[in-house]
Amino acid sequence: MRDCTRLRGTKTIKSSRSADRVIGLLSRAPLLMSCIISVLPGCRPPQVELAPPGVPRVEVEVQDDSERVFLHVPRSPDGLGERQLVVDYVPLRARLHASADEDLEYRPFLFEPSPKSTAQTLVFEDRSAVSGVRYRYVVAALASKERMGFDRPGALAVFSEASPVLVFNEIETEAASKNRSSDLQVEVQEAPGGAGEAVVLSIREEGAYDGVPGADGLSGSRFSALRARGDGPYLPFPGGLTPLQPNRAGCIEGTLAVPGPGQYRYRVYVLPDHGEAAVVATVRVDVAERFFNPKRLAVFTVLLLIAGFTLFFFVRTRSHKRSIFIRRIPGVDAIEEAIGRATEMGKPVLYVPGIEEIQNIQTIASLLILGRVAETVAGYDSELLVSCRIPLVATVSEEVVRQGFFDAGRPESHRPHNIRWISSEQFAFVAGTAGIILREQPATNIYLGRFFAESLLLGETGYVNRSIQIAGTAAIPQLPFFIASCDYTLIGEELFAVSAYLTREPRLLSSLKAADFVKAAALVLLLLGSLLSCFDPQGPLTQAVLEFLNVRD
Amino acid sequence: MRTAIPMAVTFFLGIFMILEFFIPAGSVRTAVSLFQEWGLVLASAAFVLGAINVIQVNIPKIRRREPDWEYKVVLLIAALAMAFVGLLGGREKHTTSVDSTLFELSQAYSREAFEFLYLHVFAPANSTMFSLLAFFIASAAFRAFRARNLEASLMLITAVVVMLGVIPVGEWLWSGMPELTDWILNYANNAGRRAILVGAALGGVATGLRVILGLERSHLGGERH
Repeated sequence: MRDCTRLRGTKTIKSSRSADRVIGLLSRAPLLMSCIISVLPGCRPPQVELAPPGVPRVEVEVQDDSERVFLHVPRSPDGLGERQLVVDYVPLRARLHASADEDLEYRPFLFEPSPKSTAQTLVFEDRSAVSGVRYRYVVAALASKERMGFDRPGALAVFSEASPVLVFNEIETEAASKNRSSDLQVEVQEAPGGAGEAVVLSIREEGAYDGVPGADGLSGSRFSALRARGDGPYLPFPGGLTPLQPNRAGCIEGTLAVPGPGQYRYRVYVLPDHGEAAVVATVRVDVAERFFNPKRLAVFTVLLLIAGFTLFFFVRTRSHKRSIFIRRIPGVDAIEEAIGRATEMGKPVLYVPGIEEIQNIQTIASLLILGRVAETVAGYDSELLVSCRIPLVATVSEEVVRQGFFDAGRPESHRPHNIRWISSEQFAFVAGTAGIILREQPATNIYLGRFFAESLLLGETGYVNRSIQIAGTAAIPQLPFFIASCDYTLIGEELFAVSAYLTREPRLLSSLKAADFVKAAALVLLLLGSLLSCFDPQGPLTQAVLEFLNVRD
Repeated sequence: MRTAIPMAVTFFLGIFMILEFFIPAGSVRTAVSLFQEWGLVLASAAFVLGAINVIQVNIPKIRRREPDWEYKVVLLIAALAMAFVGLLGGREKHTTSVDSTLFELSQAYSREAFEFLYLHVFAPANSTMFSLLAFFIASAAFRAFRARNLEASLMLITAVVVMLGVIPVGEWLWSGMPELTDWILNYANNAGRRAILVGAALGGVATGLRVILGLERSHLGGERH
């Protein structure tokens, strides 16, 4: 009779396992589909629409009495306010002559956004046009992920090379112009120490500017530039059509992003208050393809040092059979005690792996610890609840916990429904997790990963519930909150050491030792830099150290 | 084989992404953009798994009439309602006229309903949760600032000085209070912050390398066996 019961029980377990397996496979179908979608070129998301759908019409409104021209430009659905992929709209203007078959040369001009603009239509005001001359306008929409780096060198992002410019329809109207230019020196060169991503454009007046602050030889002038790649036409580019203003030293010098290696020509214009822009100069620069970004030499060195030291300590430990000393971390020691307490009380353990995305290193470290925690919880035959904000983190957590229970030899104790995705909204997630703490009353709360404002909310809710709380994060602003509300707090690097600390495996401990050695080297370098900056700020060694650390700016 | 393939994929992609950080060549960047696009699609698809998880967790509790099962019903109805009006209304605003079809009208009203629910239900609830911080800060500060030992007493004194230094009363009590506060924040506090930052950054690099090089395999399982 007993055997029959056991057999029936086994059957039930087996059938529930196979049901779980089917549900598991079904729930992974979206991931499989997404893999196929992302690989098939025909299933890619549509390209960015720079112009409004249909034939985009730019309307022109001329006020004869004030010699003002208004350009009404319909906004792109992918422009500002929607997907924010179109970063700018820039009008260009060409002067029409008597001959109808002449080649038009579109040039920048002084314009201002008009308060008449609406959510659907952008209105530009051309104040430099004069009646009596015929003009033709085009409006370009610029799509890019980059932001202009002028006056802020280094503030450059990735340039989106795809569909940088799209020209709307052309409009004709009448106005007049006059030219004005001056004797200027224009230079363009590849950004020093750069990675083939930017050029430095400088404009200065010959004689009037000699590097002395206050010698503003360009005062009152405004400039603009168009860019051509290779033998292509001159086109607007992000940052180039914003009127470039001289700095306090009377010189224009700024870093402009380029979409990649190649030959570029820049045509610089001076913009008069009235009339047509005059070409100041056309300059050329060759941006070479680089295979190493010298600005990141320090990071590369740190990476090599850590990898090298890890290998060294690992080999040394294996060959000499020595154990690596690692100091005691009370917060980590408390994890097993806290899980044991939860088991004794018959209450679950709650684990929160932070609220950041899966690619965040703190989330990755937390998930590695989750595996160990799951193994320990399974060993005690206790219950583990995991509360996640990011769906992908929840999916990975489920796999990690399943593996932890399997490694502990209790795969049947794993309950997939205990790994919960609450909400991707921060405070909805907090409300849900606080609800779990108050309703299911876990005896132990473990918060490890990247946290923001929810750290104190979760910590205090756990305190009210009288749970043992262990927290750890490398987010410095949240550390005081965890220290105030939790029993144990892992500070900064301790979070990354937990996994190695728990296993005591030489291959993991060797990387901790390596990080410690690099930290010591960084300390020496910091002391050296501080002393040199104090006693010999302009010396070659000081400059070399600053250059290596890339902290000159 | 069960762990070898994931380790190989992690190694290949990890090394590639590290190299992209140092190599600005266009072809490397193009490949990385493609990988990032794959990642985005996967992350989006995981939302479907999240929705399945919510249903899997809550439906059995409602069926078994577990304590507080009524809240689960509210949760599911709210989630379904938001999903419905969001999917029907879409992202863009719709304008209606006398010639609008029934579908266009429903789209426009769904969009309005979504905005109403977001602005008048979700946003106030969000603000309520956030505002709880004020009370929790008070209770946590009360516990943290109890002068139980020397370290806690030092922290209490420092906190009082900093708090006084940023309010007008502090300057009224002693004119040097704001300067003292600035000194504490810029030197004593900053030194500690930077030490933690350097340690955390190096720890992050070491952890990343452990995973990429396959030294850390706990997430793949099978270490014991």
